[in-house]
Amino acid sequence: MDHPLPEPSGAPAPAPAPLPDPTAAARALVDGVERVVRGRRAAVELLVTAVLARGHVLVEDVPGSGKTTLATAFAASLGAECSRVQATADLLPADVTGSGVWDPASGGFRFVPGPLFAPVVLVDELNRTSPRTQSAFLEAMEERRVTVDGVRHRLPEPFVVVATQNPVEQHGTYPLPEGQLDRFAVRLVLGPLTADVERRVLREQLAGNRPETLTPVLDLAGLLALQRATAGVHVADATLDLAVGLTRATRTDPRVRLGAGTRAGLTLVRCAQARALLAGRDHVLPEDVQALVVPVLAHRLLLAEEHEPLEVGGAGSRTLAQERLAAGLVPGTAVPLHR
Amino acid sequence: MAADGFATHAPAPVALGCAAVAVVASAWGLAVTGGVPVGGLVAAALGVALGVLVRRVPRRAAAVAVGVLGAAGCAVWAPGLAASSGALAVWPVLGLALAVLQFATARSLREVRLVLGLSVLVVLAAAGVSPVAALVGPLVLVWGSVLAGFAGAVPHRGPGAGPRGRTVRAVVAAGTAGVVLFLLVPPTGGAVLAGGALGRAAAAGGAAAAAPRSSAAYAGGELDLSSRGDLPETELLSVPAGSPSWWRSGVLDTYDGRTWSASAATATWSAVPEGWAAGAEDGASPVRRVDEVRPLSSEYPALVSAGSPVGVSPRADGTRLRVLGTSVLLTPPGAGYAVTSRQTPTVGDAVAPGTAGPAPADAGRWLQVPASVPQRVRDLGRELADGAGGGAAAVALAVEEHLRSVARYSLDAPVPGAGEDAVDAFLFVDQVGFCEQFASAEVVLLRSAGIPARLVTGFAAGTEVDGRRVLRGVDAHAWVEVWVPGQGWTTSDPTAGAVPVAGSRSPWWAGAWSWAQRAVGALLDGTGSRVVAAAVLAGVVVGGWLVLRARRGTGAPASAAVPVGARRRGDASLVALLVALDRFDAALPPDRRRGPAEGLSTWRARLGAAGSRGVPVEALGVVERACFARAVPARAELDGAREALERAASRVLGEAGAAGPAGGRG
Repeated sequence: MDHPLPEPSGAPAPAPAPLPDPTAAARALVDGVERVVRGRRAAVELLVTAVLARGHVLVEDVPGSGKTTLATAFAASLGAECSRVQATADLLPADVTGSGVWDPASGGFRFVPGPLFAPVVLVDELNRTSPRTQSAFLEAMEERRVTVDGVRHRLPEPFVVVATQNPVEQHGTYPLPEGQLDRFAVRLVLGPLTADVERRVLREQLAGNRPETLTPVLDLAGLLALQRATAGVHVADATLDLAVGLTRATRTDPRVRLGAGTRAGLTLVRCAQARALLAGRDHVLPEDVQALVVPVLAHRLLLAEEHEPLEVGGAGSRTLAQERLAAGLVPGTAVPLHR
Repeated sequence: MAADGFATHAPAPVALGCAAVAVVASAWGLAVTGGVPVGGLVAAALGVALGVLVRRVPRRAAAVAVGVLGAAGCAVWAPGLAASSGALAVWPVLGLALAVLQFATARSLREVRLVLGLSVLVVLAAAGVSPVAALVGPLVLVWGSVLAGFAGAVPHRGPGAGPRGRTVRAVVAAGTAGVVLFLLVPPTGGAVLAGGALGRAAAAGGAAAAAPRSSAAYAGGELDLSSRGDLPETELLSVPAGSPSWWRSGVLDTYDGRTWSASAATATWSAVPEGWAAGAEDGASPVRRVDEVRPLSSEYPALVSAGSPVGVSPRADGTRLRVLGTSVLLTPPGAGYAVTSRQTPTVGDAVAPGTAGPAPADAGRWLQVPASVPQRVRDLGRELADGAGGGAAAVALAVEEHLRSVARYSLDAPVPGAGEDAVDAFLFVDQVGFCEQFASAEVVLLRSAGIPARLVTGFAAGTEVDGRRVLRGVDAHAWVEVWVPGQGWTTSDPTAGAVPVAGSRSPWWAGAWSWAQRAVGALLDGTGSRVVAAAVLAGVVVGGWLVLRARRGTGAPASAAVPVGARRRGDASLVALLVALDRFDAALPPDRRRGPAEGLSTWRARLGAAGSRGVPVEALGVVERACFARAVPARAELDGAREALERAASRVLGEAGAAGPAGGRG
């Protein structure tokens, strides 16, 4: 049974009018987020790239590095409601999806949508919650709908999950299963800021430059149109060959226990489309694909036992090993030149 | 999201052009069925034309508007059509409307392919509504442009060797199985192959099949104007070298529109001491001659004579004589004989007037014209006679001249359709014929003008061998004898001097086609031959497959000169450009070359950062667009980039050459 919800964001949006200049709109979105998130141009571009490719984003970094700021600034730039879920060990699926509530007036259960019913959902510390709750996100992220009490509810369009995870703490965490990781289009590692950028951030935050103060540069219909324009970016056969070659290289590498699947290849090409759109091109270049190998493919690689970093390094060093491996695939995969 | 790999490709101009042709041709197809008002078609054509024009404008809304207008124009006439041709006739119109709309708004290859498919549906529907012969043109045009359009709508590499091989194998296997099944399952009544596709018989409904021709047909009795094909080279008779050119065996008087036959004998034979003798025919010339005839084969039993025969003396005992119509058979065949004949003069020759009367004795027999002969043939005969002035000889010469001027000679003339008059078809439709058609036409024309004439069969010409003239199967001939008052029967041969079709013989393909038709017909007639043919076909295919499979292992690898990717696409300019890129790459020092995993933009930036002079930046951009962009750059641009790369490569090589010796001296 399919239940399109009138709330919170209305019925499925009608086909939006094409944007006059999608590239300018996408760049405006990047610039808008960057007004608050300073010094992280690459990360912001990756976030927008993933969203244009209709993907979800996993941000991995230590606390206080601006993960949440990034997500809220993005939502604010869209003028969209951003719901936030603090994932804890006792978080239940119903807390995320919403549940039926007894309605004395009608004498039945009324569905009260949970925080997932928002265009931008920020999930903090996703790896802290139980696998059961994580799997509630799984269905929502892939199928863009949730099932509560046997009734399926369609999620709003667009729907973006920005999840963060803390790589340092190990106790009381549930590492995300591979199936769940595969549902994130990109994994962002923010990394440290330089000293002068950090000083500037402090200055601006003290002056009250908060994400909430951002003026929207794009509405949700505009984002949908952008996603549509992204899907129309041309992908040549040679580009596909490169993407397929890179994806297959992850499977044949002896250091990898489980490589990237076909969905990873599809995501890689879609994100490359978005990157080409941001660059103002109507076709994807091999450079687009190569630039996205690390953020798109690295987190899907399950390293072989002997290459798995020791426990002391924890998730952080595993991320590093994955990224190093993925980056090593790029020079080893030939760029075919043909029509 | 769209799963189609070509969804975002720009449509190639050739595909767009083909789509336009297909839509217009499908509209034409609808028009010839007569079910659609012209106004709707004009609207459709206008929609297509405006769509082509508006395509240049970047505003999509304008294209949509034009397409909607064109589609509405098509659909406005739908109710009227439903009223006149039934509700079913509406759907090709709606299909056409959809095609016009789709064409005006098509921006990608997938949409162009949709237009092509729609136009096929429209003509198929038109054929279903009213299957008229005039649909052939639109159908051919639509199918041709759709095939070309589909070929142009997939500009990327075609299927690899694997899928192509599988396709070939599947087609061969299915085709073989189908033909074998066709050969093994006996046909359920009716001819398997009716008529020839080249002959008009097939187009006219295919009733008259071409019977194979044989020289025996010229031995008298009956002559079928529908028979076709080459005559054998067999040597049949040997006659004296100095004898007249025409050796006749039979005289035919009755024409029925397709065949000639003899209604009665021309002479009565009686036994005499030296053989047999016959009374001189009415109108035979007084000049007598005796010729020795030696059969060279037993295939030709009829008596031949150098004129009207009056006596025959067999050279072997036990020979019997049998009269069949106007021809005389000697049995057993193969024995030589001496034949006495009254020589027949040739029309137009200055011959002393004989004693013959103004008309033959049995004039009605020699003036027979069947009612099936159309009026235009009779009129033509009278016109020619009037134009020639008086005198049967003059008229005969005029008719000969007319036939030579309008008709050409061929052994494989088209077979007239069922119910058609052979002479009419020869004179007014095909104007291609051979001896019996020329002769038949002359007889019918002369008779139409009231001049007695008859068809004579036998041999003409021959080959001189050792002082005798040998008559072969190919020398079999038919000509005309016309009654000239005072002289009697005189020979007139309209075929002599006729211009052959395309040189001395019929075109080889026509001969080969008629031979193939006869061979296939003979093959299909016998049950045994069908089974044998099926077995042979299956054997050949299986054998060929085994041979190919055995040879596959030894095949040499393809040449590596052309980049692998480029070879997949047949565009010569693109291939040349990629080859030039490889050469430029190879000319550079190793540290400047493009890494295998380096994109062209990255490479270009690296070359620029390294400070290399003369990097063909523009050309590299063109290569990049040729490989990755939505549309292939124009041919001129590709060629320009290729030349730039070649110049750059030779400059790099020149610098290296200049630097090398200098370094050596230093």
